[in-house]
Amino acid sequence: MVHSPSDRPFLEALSRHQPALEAFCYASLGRREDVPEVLQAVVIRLWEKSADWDTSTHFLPWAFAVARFTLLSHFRDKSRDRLVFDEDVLLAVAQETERAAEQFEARKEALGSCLEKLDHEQRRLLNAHYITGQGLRELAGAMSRSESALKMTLLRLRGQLRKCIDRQLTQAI
Amino acid sequence: MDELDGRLQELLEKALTQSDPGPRNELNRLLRENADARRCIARFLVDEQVLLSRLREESLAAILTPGSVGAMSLLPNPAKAKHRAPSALWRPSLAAAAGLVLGLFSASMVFGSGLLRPATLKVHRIELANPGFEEELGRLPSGFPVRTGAWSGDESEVVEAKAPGAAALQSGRALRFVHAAADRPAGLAYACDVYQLVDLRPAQALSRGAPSTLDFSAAFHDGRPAGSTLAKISCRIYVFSGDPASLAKRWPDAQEAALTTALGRWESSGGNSEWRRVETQTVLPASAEFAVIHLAAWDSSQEGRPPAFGQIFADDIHLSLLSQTPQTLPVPKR
Repeated sequence: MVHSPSDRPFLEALSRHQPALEAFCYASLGRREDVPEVLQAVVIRLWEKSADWDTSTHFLPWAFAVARFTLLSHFRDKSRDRLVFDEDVLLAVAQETERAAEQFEARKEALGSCLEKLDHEQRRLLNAHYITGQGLRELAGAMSRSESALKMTLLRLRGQLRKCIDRQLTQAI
Repeated sequence: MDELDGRLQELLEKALTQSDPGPRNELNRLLRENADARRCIARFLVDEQVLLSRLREESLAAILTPGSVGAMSLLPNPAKAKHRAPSALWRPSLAAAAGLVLGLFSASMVFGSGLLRPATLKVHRIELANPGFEEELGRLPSGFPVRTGAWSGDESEVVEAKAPGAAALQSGRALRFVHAAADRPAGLAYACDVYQLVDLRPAQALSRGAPSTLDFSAAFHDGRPAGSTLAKISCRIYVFSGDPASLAKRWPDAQEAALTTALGRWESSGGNSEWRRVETQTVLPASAEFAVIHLAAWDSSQEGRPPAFGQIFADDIHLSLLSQTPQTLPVPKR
């Protein structure tokens, strides 16, 4: 496979939108452990089909269509107990997933301001759970709190952040 | 919406952590039946990825910031990010781009070794009986179909383009939904349903075991005046294995036995001069033998009286098989 200057728009679009594609894969799978393998397969498939992309059109709708087929192949290869969603549900949710993933960069940008409004303890909890990957049981022990109380705190925090992002984006319009 | 969010998150967590299939099945059922749930789960999971991505960036930036100007230039500065122009928001780190290119080179090597084969997408039209309603004018047979190759259902009729309310029809004939009927003897009548059984075995032969989807679409026209009651107009496909002739006796309960199903829907309050194409897709399971394609007009605003549709039409029904066919690739010479 030879790279040429004509690959540049494709590579730029792919590097720009790879986080949104990752979000699309995660939202379609529901299981984080499976994302790297599927994302890699999606990137390879996009690369193989890069000549089909009309650079005068938006990259993401085309990329999501390719990703959807890669996900379906993944679904066929996996036993049902490894899958969170049924195939028909994956397809039924796909449109909403695409719509949400298209807003990935805008939502991430808005999240920056929202995170600044959190207090130290809330930030510490988010970092411990999402960056260092500590489970709820482990965190509950370390923070001398019950697992269910911590789960509720995280749930509320996520809801708070979601509303803040929505507000930021509404104001931006 | 918060309550639904909480319910979905609870089911998702249980589906991921418990061996009991109950929560997984309940989650899938909820997502099949509830459009709000589909919207919530998509947004929840994408937002989780947004959060993870942002926290990772900020965490990396915090590690690399002290005295490391070069390293910082590779990463977005979260403190300044919100002041950037929208056009610059997407820029990923150079490291990520480099990783991507390296990944692609690696992929091409695997590709060359023959472990991975690209695929082409093939589209085959599946033959339907009377897809444009051109064959015969008049009422459709009533009841659920007992054999493939014919439309039947609730009170509906094939009309000419010049029929009242069908002014927007371009040519030929179309199906007119007339009256709703109840699915069960004591049930309420909200929908006018029309069905056709379709043999999928030829489609299975065409797919040759490759991952495939069925694409089902129909054109609809709502000729009622603007401000009419809200009608839900839909095309739906159910995929089954087994004997299609036995389905009529068990419909609508037999819907539960469908291997997959998919729904495309349009909500209209009239005032449309154009036709609207509604489509939906579902996978073709390996065991699929036949499908039920279902056209419907639905209105629950009539307070128990069966709604009359009269000016809602369907036409130009398509069912296609989209399958990925592996290509044979030449192995590059070294």
